[in-house]
Amino acid sequence: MAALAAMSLIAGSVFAATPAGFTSAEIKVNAQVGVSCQEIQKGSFPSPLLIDTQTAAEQTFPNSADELVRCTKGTVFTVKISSANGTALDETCTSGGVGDMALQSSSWPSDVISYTFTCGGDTDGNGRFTGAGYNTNKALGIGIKIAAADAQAAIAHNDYSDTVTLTITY
Amino acid sequence: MKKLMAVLAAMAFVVVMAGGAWADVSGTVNVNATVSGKCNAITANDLTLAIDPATASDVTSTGADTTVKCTNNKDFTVTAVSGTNVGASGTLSSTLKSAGKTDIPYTLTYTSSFTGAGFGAAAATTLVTATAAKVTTADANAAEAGSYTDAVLITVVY
Repeated sequence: MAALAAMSLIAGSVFAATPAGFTSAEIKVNAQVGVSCQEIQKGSFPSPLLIDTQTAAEQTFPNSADELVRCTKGTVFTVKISSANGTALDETCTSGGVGDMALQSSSWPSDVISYTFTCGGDTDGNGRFTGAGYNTNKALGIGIKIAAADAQAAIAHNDYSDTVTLTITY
Repeated sequence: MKKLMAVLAAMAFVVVMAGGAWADVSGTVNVNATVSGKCNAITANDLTLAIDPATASDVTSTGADTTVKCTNNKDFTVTAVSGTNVGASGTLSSTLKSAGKTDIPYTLTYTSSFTGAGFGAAAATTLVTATAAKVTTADANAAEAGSYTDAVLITVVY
C-alpha cells in the first residue's frame, strides 16, 4: 500500500504539470523603412581662394568644410549642382567634376574665372552616392579646380564669388 | 382467538397510521460541478511600424490590441515565440526581416500571465497592445529602405 501510494503521488504530479490546453494565434509585425536624406553640414571653401595667375599647372582647392549628408542606408542618390554665375544647371556632380562654373567679380561683373566643381565622394565615378544610414555622415568630397589657362587669364580683383546650389536626388 | 387477532390487527394498524402521520423522511443529493479553465480563440491583430530613418526617437507600432477571453478567476500564462526567439518576462526580442537586407532588431512587449475575467460580457484581456512593438532610435537610423516583417506566435496555456 505504501508503495502504491508513492507511485500514485508521482503519477499525479506528472499529470498535474501537463497543461490542459492552449490557444494560439499568429500576429505579424510589419515595418516600412522610408527613403530620405538630410543635410548635416554645409560645405565651404577658404575665403578668399588665393589664385596663382602665374602657375603653369591646374590648381586645386580643397574644401574647408565638406558637405555632409545622411541618407537611408543603401539608398543610391546623386548630387545635382547649379552655379549662380556660371551656366551649370542641375548637372550631376562627379569626381571628374562639373564645368560651366564661374567666379564673377561683383565690382566688374564682366570679369569671370571659369572653374570646375568636383564631388570626389561618389561611389563609382558616375555621380552615384550610397547612403550610409542616419547614424553615419556621408561626405560628398567637394572641391574646386581651376585650369592653368583660366588662372593665367584672370584679371586681378578681390571680389570674385559664386554660389553653388547642391540638390540631392534619390 | 379470532377476536383477539382482530383487535391486535386493529391496534397495529392504528400504530402504523400514527407513525406515518408525524415521521419526516429526508435525504441529500450531491450535485458536483467542475468548471474547466478554457479560453476562446485569440483575437489577433497585426502591428505596423512606420520607420523614418531620420527619427530622433524610438519608433512604436500602430494597429489594434490582441485580446482573449478566458475562464473567470483562473490564472493563465502566455508565451511569445518568433522562430528561435522566445519571449521572457513579457518581452520578446526579435528581428524584422527583408530579403537581402540587414535585419532590424525590435522588441515586443506582451502580457506574460493574467487571471481570466470570464466570457460573455466580461472584458477581454489584452495580450499585446497596439503599441507593443518598438524599434530603438539607433536601429531605425541604421535601417535600410524597404518592407520588413516578422511573425510572432502568441500562445495562452491553461
